[in-house]
Amino acid sequence: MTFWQSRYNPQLKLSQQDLIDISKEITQAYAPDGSHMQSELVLMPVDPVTLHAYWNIKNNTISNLGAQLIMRVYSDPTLSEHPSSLKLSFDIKLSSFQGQQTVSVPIAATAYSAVIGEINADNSFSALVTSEIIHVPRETPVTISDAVPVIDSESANIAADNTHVIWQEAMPEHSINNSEQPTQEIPMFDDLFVTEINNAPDIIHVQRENAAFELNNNSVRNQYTSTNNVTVPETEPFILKNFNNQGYDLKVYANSSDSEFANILAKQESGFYISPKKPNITKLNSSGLGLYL
Amino acid sequence: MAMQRGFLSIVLHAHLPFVRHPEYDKFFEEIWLFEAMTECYIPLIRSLEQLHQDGVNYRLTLSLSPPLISMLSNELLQSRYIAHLNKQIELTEKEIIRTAGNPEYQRLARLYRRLYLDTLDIFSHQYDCNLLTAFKKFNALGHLELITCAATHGFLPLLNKNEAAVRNQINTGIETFISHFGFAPEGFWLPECGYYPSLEKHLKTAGINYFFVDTHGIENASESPRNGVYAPLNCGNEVMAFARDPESSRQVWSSTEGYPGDYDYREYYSDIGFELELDYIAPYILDGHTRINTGIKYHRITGKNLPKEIYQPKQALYKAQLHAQDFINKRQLQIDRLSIDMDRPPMIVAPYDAELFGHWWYEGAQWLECVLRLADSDTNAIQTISCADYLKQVVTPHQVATPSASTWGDQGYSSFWINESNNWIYPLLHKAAADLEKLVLALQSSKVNPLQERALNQAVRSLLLAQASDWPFIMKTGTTVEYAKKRITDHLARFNYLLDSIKTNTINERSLSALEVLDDVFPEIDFRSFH
Repeated sequence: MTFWQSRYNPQLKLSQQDLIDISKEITQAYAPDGSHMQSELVLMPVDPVTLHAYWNIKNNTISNLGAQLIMRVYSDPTLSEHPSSLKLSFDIKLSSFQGQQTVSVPIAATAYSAVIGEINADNSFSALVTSEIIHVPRETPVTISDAVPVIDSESANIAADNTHVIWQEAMPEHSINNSEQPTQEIPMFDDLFVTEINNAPDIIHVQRENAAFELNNNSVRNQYTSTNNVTVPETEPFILKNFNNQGYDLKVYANSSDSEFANILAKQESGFYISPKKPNITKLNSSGLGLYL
Repeated sequence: MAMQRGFLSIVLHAHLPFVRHPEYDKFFEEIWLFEAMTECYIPLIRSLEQLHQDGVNYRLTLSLSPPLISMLSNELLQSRYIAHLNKQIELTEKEIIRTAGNPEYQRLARLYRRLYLDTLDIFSHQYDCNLLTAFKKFNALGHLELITCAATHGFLPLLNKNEAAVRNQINTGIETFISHFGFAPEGFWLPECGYYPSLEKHLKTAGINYFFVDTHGIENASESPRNGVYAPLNCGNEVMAFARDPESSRQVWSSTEGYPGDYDYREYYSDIGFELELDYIAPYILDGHTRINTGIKYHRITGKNLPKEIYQPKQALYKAQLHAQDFINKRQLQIDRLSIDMDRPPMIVAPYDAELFGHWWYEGAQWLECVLRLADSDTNAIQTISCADYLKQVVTPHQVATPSASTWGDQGYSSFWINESNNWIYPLLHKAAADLEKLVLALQSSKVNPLQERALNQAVRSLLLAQASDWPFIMKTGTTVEYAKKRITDHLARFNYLLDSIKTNTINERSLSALEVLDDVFPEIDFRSFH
C-alpha cells in the first residue's frame, strides 16, 4: 500500500484511500452551489457585439415579489473608445432572481453598464442592483472615419413610399428615477452607423412590422412621410422596435440637430436593420492535447 | 528584386492542465502528459539536439506553462512516465510478433519500438527524468528563449472581475518559472492569447517586456498600426505586444489547407487501440475495456473516403522537407513584399501550440527542424529571432497604441470560454477570488500560525487550479466534460472548506495534509501576495 505525506508535515502519513475519502467528504460538504452569493449583477464582454450577464438578487432586497424584473442595459459614450453623443438603452425581461444570460449589444467598441430593477405599478423603475461598467472590443480597425464621421447622403435618401412608421400608443416609459442618462450636446458619431454606410456590413431585411421605429413622446405625434421633414424631440428616445431581431426595443437618445441622426432614421425607415457584424474568424487551435479542430 | 532582410520568430506554447492523481495507482488523464512527452517534447528535444550538433544557428521561443513545468519536474509523474513507456515498448514487441506475416506493418512496429526505446533513453539517461534540464541546456546554448504564462493558464479576460486574481495568475506563473530556471522570463504568453486593455500594467509590474496577441488585437488597436502586424506596438508603458502572423499561422494550423492534412502524413485517427481485438489490446487501454489511442498508428491520411494506406515514414519525411521549404519560400516572399512599405525589417511572429507538433501532426517536429535548418541557409535573408532579441536589435521607437481585446480562440474573442456549456463556473470563480482577497486583506496585519498559513496557501492553490482555462475549454469541446466539471467542483469545494476552517479556526491538519498531497503544486506560494 502506498502512503503519502505532505511536504509540510512529513510525520503525518495518508494512504491512497485516505486521500480519496477526505476528498469525497470535502466535495460533498463544500461543493459550491451559489447559495451564498451576495446580490450582484456582473457583466462580462464576450465579443464586440455580445456581453454576458449574471445576477443574483437576494429576496430581502425585493420590494414587490409580483413586480416584473427588468435588466436595463445602457451604453456610455463618454467612456467608449470614440466620441459620441448617441446613447442607447434597452430592457430585457428577467424571469428569475438568479441567472445568467447572453446579451447582444448594438455597437462595438463601447462601454456598457446595466441595472436590474422592478417596474412598479406606476411604471416607475426601482433599481435593485447595478453592474460595473465594461467595454466590448472593436470589431474593425480604426480608420480615418473614426475621427470624422462621413455619411453618404445618397444612401440616406429613400423614396417617400418606402417610409413607414408605426406609432405605438402611450408607450410606458420614463419615471426612470435613478439611472437614466442625460443627453449630451456632443457632435454625434457612432460606429454602428458609420460602419453600415462606409463599410457595407451585413444588412438584414426585416418585416415591416418589425422594422418600425418609434418616437417615445406622447405630445409629439409626427408620422414621418419623408426623410426631409423628420422632426426629433430633444430629449426623448427614439425606439427601434425589436432591434435587430434581438427581442428588445432599442432606445436611442440623440439630438435632433444632428443631421446624421436623420440619416439614421431614414435608413431605419427604408427597411434595413443594422446587423452588428460577427467576426468571421475560424481559429484552428487546441488547448493542450484537447482538440485540433 | 534583391531579397530583403526580415525576422521570423517561431513561438511554441507548451501547456497541459495540472493532472496528477496520487490517490490512484493509475489515472487516465495523466496520459495527456505522457503522450505529449513522447510525441511532442522529446521529439522537439531530439530535433534541437540534432540542430545543435550540426552547428545550425537558430533561435526558437518556447513558452512553458507553470502546470507543465510543475508536472515535468514532479517525481511521481516522472516515475509513472517510465512505467508508461515500458508498457508501450511491451506493446510494440507484441506488435512485432503479431505483424510477422505483414512486413510493411512489422517494419513500422519495429520503428515504433526503436522510437520508444530512444525516448526512454533520452528521458531517463540523457536528462535524468526531467525534461526541463534539456530546455535549460538549449537556453544556455543560446538557441532557445524560454518564457512562461499564467499560473494555471487562467483565461484572464474572464477572471478580471477581480484584479487580484489576474495579478496572482501572472505573478505565481512567473515565480514558478524563476524557481525552476533561475532567471526571470522577458516574455509572457497570455493564456489563449487572451488580452484586454490594461492587462499590460500587470505585466509591467511583473517585469515582463513583451507578450503576444492574435492578429486582430493589433489590427484593431487604438491607433491603426503603421507596420501592420509585422512590428510590435508599445502599449504605452514600454511593454510590447507582438501579433500572430495570419499567413504563417494558416499554413500550419489549418486542417484543410494546412500542411498537416497532407495525404502522406500519418493519420491520427487510425490507432490500434480502436482497431484490434479487445482481448488483445485490453492491457493497453483504459481499465481494460474502454478503447483509447495507444500511439501505434499504421496508416497515412491517404485521402477523403479512401481505404487507409500504409504509412511510409520516408515519404512523410520528404513531404515535411518540401513543406518546410515552401514555408521558408513564402516567408521570404512575404518579407520582400512587406519591406516595400515598412520603416524597419518585418518581424513575422508564428506562434503555435507545441502539442500540434508530433501529437496531432506527427511529422511536425521534423518539419520544424527543417524550417530552422533552411532559415539558416544562404538561400534566403530570413533570420530566426526571439522577440527579446528583436527588441534589443531594433532600436527604432515602436508605435504607441493599445491593442484591442482579443484571443486566438474560435471567433477571436471569449465565446469559447463562456457559453451555455460552461458559464456556470464564472460566478463561482469570481466569488471565490473576492472571498480570498477579502480574507487576505483582513489578515494583512495579523499574525497567523503555521497551520493557518498552510491552510491559506493551500486555499490559493485550490483557487488557481479551479481557474484553469482548460476546464471551460473541455466543457465546450465536449471531450472529457465530467472530468473537467469534477476538477472545478473539487477545487472550489476544497477552497470553500479551507476558508471555512480558517474563519472558524477549525483547521484539521489531516485533511489539510491530504489536500496538500492531492494538489501538490506551487510549493512556494504565499497567500499574502493575493491582493
